Amino acid sequence: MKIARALMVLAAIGACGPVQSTAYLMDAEVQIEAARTAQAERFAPYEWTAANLYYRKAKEEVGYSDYEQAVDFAQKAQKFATQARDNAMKTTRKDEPAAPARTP
Amino acid sequence: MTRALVGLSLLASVACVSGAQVRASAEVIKSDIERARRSGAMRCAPRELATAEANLDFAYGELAEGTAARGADHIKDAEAAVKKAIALSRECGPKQVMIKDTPVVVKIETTDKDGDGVLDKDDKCPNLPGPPDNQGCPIEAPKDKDGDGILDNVDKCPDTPEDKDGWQDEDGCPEPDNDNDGVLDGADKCPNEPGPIENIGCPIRDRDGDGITDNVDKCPNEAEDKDGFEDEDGCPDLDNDKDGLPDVQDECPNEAGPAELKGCPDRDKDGLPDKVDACPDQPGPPEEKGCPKKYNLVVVTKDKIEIKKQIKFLSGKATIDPKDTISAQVLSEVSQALRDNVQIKKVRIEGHTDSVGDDAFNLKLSQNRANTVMSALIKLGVDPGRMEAVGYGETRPIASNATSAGKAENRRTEFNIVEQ
Repeated sequence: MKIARALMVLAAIGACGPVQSTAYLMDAEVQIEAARTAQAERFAPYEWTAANLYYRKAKEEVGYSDYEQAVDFAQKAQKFATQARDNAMKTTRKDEPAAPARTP
Repeated sequence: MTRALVGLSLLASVACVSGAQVRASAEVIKSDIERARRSGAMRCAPRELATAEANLDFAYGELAEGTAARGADHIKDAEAAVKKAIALSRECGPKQVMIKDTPVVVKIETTDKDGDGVLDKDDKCPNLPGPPDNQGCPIEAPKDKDGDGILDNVDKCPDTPEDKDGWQDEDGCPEPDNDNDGVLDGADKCPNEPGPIENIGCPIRDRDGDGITDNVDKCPNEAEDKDGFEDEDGCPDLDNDKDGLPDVQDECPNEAGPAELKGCPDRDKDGLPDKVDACPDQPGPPEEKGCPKKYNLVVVTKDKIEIKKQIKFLSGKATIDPKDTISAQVLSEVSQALRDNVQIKKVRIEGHTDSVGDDAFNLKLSQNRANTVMSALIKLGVDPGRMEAVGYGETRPIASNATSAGKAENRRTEFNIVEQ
């Protein structure tokens, strides 16, 4: 029984890195999708490109089992994706034609 | 096994070199990225800028993990991206903007043709890359016109080469007379210390502090003793009179004298130093203050004991005339003189005759008479070692033997000092 508990604790500790990095990667992916919807590729190309590069690199680091780096890059991907979405939305709002004046 | 180790160490060394190279390249790319940003890459080449920055970050990450090979790949990507970003940024800005319905044309200069990060409007050399602090112009390396190894921008004398003699060689100006003493360094024995020309440019010192400067001091490292004896040469004279007794122990330091007289001279050798000898050239006992004792019948001179009256002998014999009291007095005073004058080491008692009679007989007679006198003196207490008796016969007359007066003079006894 004791051995089984110890093994569980060890497994939990060992699994901490992959679980964390996966969570951050999922968050980053969500933010990237949101940025895509906001046409960030066109209106915030700098942030969009950076977000995608960091996202890919984070996944690559998971492949190397370097979870610490993976988390770091995933966080950066998420940050850039958020900025990309915000900047894209600001730009598109400026480009929208002004609402027509109401007729009495 | 050995080969495997060698292979491993080779691999390790390659990996180390690669890591250093990647790090160096990363620094170059970092500055290129900053340049690209200044040139407007954020607007003109955002994707390339982002790619460059992200890959640089990845490269640093790989380096931190010790995977330099993967880092090198990112460096390659970053390098390509930043080059593209710089190229795209050069002339991407709108040069002219037409404002609708107005005839005004606004010209906007936002280009950076030489890609040095200084926009052309601020770039004094738009076609030549240069750092911002030099207004975009290239910094020319300073020249060294006089070829003295000191660049003109720091050379105070750019047209005259520094003499490089170890004296203020940093300013670029030659110093022909380092110590400014008026003696040019080439002829100056002490080029860095001022000194008069008569001392070949060296300062006149007095190392031994005896008040005599080194240039005239024969012993510059030994102080003169200033005892009034040859004090001008600068050398101490520890034994002025060179009599073997140091001046400090010598009561007469400037006159040579024996150690037993504390270095003082004694010309008449009577054992009394000249300085306390009332008669320094005539031997005499101390109780007479060095003067000869006054005798009635004898006089002690430098080389003899003169007798005022002759010792009388029986005719043709070597016996002193017992009736003659003068002879006994003379002998008594001679013995006293010898006792008083200890400096007389040896006296020769000479017997002389006149020419009357046979020569051989006279010679023998004179020898016997000299022996008689010597015996008489021994009896009177004179050390026999201080005397010798010699008979000369008639060979050394002091007067003519033709007259009776002369013959009387020739018959004589002499006491000549032979050693003292």
